[in-house]
Amino acid sequence: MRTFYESDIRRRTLVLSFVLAGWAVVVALRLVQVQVFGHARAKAAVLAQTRDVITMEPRRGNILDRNGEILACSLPAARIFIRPVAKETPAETLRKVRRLQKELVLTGKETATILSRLQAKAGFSYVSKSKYSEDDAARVMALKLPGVGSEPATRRNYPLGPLASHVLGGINLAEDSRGGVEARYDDLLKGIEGRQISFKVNGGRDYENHVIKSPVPGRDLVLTIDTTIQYFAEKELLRAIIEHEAAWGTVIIMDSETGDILAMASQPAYDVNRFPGPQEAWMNRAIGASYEPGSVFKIITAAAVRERGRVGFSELFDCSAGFIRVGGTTITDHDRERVLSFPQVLIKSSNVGTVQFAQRVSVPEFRETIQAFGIGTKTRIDLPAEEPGSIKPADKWIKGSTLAHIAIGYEVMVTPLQIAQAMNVFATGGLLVRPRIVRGGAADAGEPVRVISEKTATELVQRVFEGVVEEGTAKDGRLDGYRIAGKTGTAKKWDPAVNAYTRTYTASFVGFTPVENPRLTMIVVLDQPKDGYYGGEVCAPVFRDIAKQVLRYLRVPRERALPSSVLTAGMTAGRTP
Amino acid sequence: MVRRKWNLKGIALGAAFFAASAAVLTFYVWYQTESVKLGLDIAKLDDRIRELEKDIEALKLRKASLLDPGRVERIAREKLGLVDPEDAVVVYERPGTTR
Repeated sequence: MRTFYESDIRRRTLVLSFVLAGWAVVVALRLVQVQVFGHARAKAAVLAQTRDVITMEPRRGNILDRNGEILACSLPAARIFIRPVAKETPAETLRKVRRLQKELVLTGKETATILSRLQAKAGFSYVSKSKYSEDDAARVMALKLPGVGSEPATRRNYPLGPLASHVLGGINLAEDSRGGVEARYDDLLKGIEGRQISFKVNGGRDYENHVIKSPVPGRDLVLTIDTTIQYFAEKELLRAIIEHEAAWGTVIIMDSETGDILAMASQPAYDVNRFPGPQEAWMNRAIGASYEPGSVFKIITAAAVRERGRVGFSELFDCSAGFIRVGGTTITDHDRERVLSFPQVLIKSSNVGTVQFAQRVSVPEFRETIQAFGIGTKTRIDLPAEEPGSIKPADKWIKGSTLAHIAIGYEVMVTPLQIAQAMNVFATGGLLVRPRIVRGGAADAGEPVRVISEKTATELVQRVFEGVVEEGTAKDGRLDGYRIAGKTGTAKKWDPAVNAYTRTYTASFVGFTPVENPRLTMIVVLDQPKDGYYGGEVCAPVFRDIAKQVLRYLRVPRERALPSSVLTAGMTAGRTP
Repeated sequence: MVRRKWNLKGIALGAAFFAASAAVLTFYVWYQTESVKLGLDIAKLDDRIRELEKDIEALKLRKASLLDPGRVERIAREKLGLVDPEDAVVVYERPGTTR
């Protein structure tokens, strides 16, 4: 028989056991609630407190010129980030952010964004979109501000400053805006981002990093540009712009055979390191300026009539009136001429004579030739923001008038690159070669297309376009030792405000050299030049000055003897130079 | 009380086992230490390689900016007094030749 004490102990033990069992069940249920049902939330909270998954920026590919010279490269830099720190008072946070603002010269907007993210406990965020030099980052890290860290990044550098600015385009500091080949080939250049896990201790300091996926560096891009030729082009273009107070200007130099763009200069320009630069300098005029070309367009008119055999080289045209009436409009010459042969009409750039032979082709025939020369369609060069130019639709051509005006380079819009491409047809013996600016780029596709016969091209070059430089409107473009074939253009500008042509001009000269074995096809365009406005007067000399330097640089042999200027040099006995 | 007799063979085996264990342990500790040291050395060398690669990139950039054609022309003309070659025919005269 149990005693009183025995039964009491037994009862108490039982009660205690039930209480403990109940407590154990409660704990177990709570564990299930936390560990099973709250697993995802708890895991996220733990990970957020102890580690960050950080994007690793790949090294952006270099941009090189055709000789391997660096035009753009990325150097190590740093991005500064910040994350909330537990138990930090708002006052401490504010003090820390103010310190960062002072050290990194943050804008008010950037500072406000950081503060709001920290207050919202939003986690990891960059203090600015900009990247900082490694020295700046080291200086900030030395302050040992809680929750502030840096991660490696790269920053774009353009060692030649404004050289080839419109080709390169550039990237701004925040890297959210790009231009030129930087924009066009961004996918190739940027590489593939990597990821790493950064483990941290209380206070936000990293103690270990694990790379999950290594970044893949971007590929290098090789341009067809030659840095030295680009420099010659930019130097002479700038000189001409200043001398003639032109609004804008452009120079394009192509390798006649391959279509490689050796130089593409456009003014006004900007320092690529300060992309995007002033707004007036944004446009790449070489491909983005659409303008009425004036008399340079006569190269296409001449090809249209000669290819169809509608005019002979010995045919004469009466230009003595100095004007011609077509479709209710009057077309005049800048100087009254006499009776001129077909080549003389072009050599002297007579509008009256050109209209007479242009009327021997039909509208569809003329349109066909214009389109075959690439006018009205983009050249598909590997640069963004190319303009296609425009030709009026066939049904909008006014009978008798439009053809005549287009024949002399009005009522048709072109880009400088299109005209350079068209002139190059004569340099290649009748083949249209697509210009390209990136080696191995998208523009590599496609073989040259025959536009006119070799006979037409050669005859026009030898009997007309060479004469333009030797004795015609581009005499100022003559270059000792080399033959040049080309055509001048001086177009009145249309002012939409007054709906009329004004006394401002777009001057141009397009040509190639040497004539026997063409190496360079070049166009020079100056908009609204002062102190002379004829293409032969203001642009042909620029062509000559650039060609002289480029031909010497490329060691292109002279085609003809130099004028009699002889230098004598002594020779050591028994040795020949 | 019965005095237990030492088994020499057992002692020898025990000592050998102990010595072998100590040797293995010592080797393991040495191996681990060396591995960590080598790992640290590799990490240091990796850092050094990265630093040198950075230096190479920076030097390439510096070289490119020094070879800026505008800068080269400025130095050639202004500091060295060079001029463009004259467009002329050069005639080499033998010593004693009179023209």
